[in-house]
Amino acid sequence: MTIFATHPIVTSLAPEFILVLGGVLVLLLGLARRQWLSLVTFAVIALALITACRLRQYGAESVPQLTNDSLLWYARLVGLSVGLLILLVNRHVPEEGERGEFFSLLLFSLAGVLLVAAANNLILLFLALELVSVPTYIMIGLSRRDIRAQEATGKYFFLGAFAAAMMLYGFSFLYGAAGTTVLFGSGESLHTTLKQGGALGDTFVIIGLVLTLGGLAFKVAAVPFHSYVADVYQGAASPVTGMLGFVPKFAGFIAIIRVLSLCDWSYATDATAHNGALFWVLWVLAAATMLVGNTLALWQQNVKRMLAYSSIAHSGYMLVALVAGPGSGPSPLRNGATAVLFYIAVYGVMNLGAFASLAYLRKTGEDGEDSAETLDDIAGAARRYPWAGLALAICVLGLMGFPLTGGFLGKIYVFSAALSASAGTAGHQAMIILVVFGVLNSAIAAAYYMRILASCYLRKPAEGVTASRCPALRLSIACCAIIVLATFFRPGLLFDRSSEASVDVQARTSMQENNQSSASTATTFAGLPPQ
Amino acid sequence: MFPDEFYDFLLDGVLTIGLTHYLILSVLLFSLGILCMVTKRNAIGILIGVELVLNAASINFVAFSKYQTGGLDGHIVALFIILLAAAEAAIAIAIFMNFYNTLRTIDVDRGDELRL
Repeated sequence: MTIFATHPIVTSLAPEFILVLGGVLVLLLGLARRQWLSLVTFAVIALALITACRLRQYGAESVPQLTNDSLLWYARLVGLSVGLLILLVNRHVPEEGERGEFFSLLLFSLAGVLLVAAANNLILLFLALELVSVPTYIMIGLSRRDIRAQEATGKYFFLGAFAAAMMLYGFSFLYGAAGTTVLFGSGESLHTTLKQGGALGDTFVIIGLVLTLGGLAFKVAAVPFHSYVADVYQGAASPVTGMLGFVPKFAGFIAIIRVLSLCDWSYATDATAHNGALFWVLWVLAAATMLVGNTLALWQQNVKRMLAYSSIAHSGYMLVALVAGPGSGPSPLRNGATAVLFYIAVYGVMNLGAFASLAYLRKTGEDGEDSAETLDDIAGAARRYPWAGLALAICVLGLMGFPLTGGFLGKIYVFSAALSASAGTAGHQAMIILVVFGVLNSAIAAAYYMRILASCYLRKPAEGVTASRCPALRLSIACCAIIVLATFFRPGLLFDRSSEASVDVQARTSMQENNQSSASTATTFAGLPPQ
Repeated sequence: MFPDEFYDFLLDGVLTIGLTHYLILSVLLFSLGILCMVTKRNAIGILIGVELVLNAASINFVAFSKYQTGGLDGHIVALFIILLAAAEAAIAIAIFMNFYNTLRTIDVDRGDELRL
């Protein structure tokens, strides 16, 4: 049953089409320089979200080259919901003449995230990942006269282009090893051939996977491609930074999940198979990412840079769960994929809320008004603006992993999943060490988050800091704080969906082996042609 | 001058072009591209490095397509890569026009305002 009587590809990609066409519309309407442009953008994202819900309800025909599983539904739901918040936070960022460009780029980037989840082909996956990144390169520099913004744009662009090129080089080896660009399917696909090491043997698969994961490490800001993060986060406007903490990361983690499930996680989670090469690569990446992020954050005076390094550390926590793999069962306490999907959604909101609170506090510098940046700027903010201070505190406590916030549950899920998913495998000892290391790291992290809170609550109010008057910004800060609390008290709303999404990640293995589709997954897993 | 086996090796393994030759070429291009990105300080120089790496990937795709699968997949990927490289170059030039307008240079080392 379809909603529109059209070609199946239009139906199954309806939310993405709405976003892209909406983006073009907004770009054209931008010529008129109207104030209500952000309303149109809001309506476009909301329409895409509603369409996604309808599609989920009625189901769509399966199209070759596109997946139609619950991970796609999760990406649509979370990506578009957080997308609405991002739009609210960013409403005041673009200048009068650049609103059309700015909002349309936001829409294109969101469409990219959705397409990453929808891609069932290497070409489409690569183009979708580029569609996520390329608009963000421009958004950093748009409407900023600051030299620092120009520098941030340049750095982000070149590292991004390099990472994308490297990932593409990795894709070329995966293609060579498998002989096809289709990711999943019962016929000839990367999934069916890569498990046996492909036509050219393990080496090509491992080269391909390592290069691909290297490129994706840039997207999620993991070591060794973390060096841009602090500069870019500092140079960009605070609301755009809030977006950078979610959109490319979300797309990156979805892509990593897809790529690792290509080989049924066997290269990633098994320390003995295929010489365990990839297991140890990921293990070291996760450990280094946590350590580098947290230790460098300790030295920062600038809150934006501090949160940038904390964003690196958070990628490390999520990588820990990915090293463990999906394990068995859908529960986030036992399933690494579920835990990561839960964590990235909560992290996106916490991070956005923290940067939105910074953007709410305005200071007047040499080159015009800008958002508060340093610890001195936010000194005593909670005394003068109690609500903004409270929201900042909730988001920062969430990032710290303090109980009563969603961040606490996220950390519990990630570490618990890492332990139980690896239980009984050869890598269990290594995983225990990694988890202990991760817990120690979150303890270190508390030190610098506390500095933000102390500056905000205990110091004398700073001079020359005013509050933003943008109503959308206030609304979005309130929403972020409420969501961070709500994910603690009602985590089920989110993790029910993330467990559902990771069931499909696991399901590929069992379905391939049993060669039959069980009732629970038949409706959702349509990357597979009918048997 | 040389034993016959050497000429056989030269003819079959070296002079008859096969997959390996293309892979070696692409690895060379990839390494040169990365070297170019690391050493060049001029923005356009770095962009050329990025293009070299993208071309290395294209060569891989087409070579695998010819010698491994026989299909057209790899050729199509190469076409997409060319399109993408063009789009990326356009954005790079826009970004560095802006950079030039602010700093009067496209030497990327001159942008060093962002620090602790």
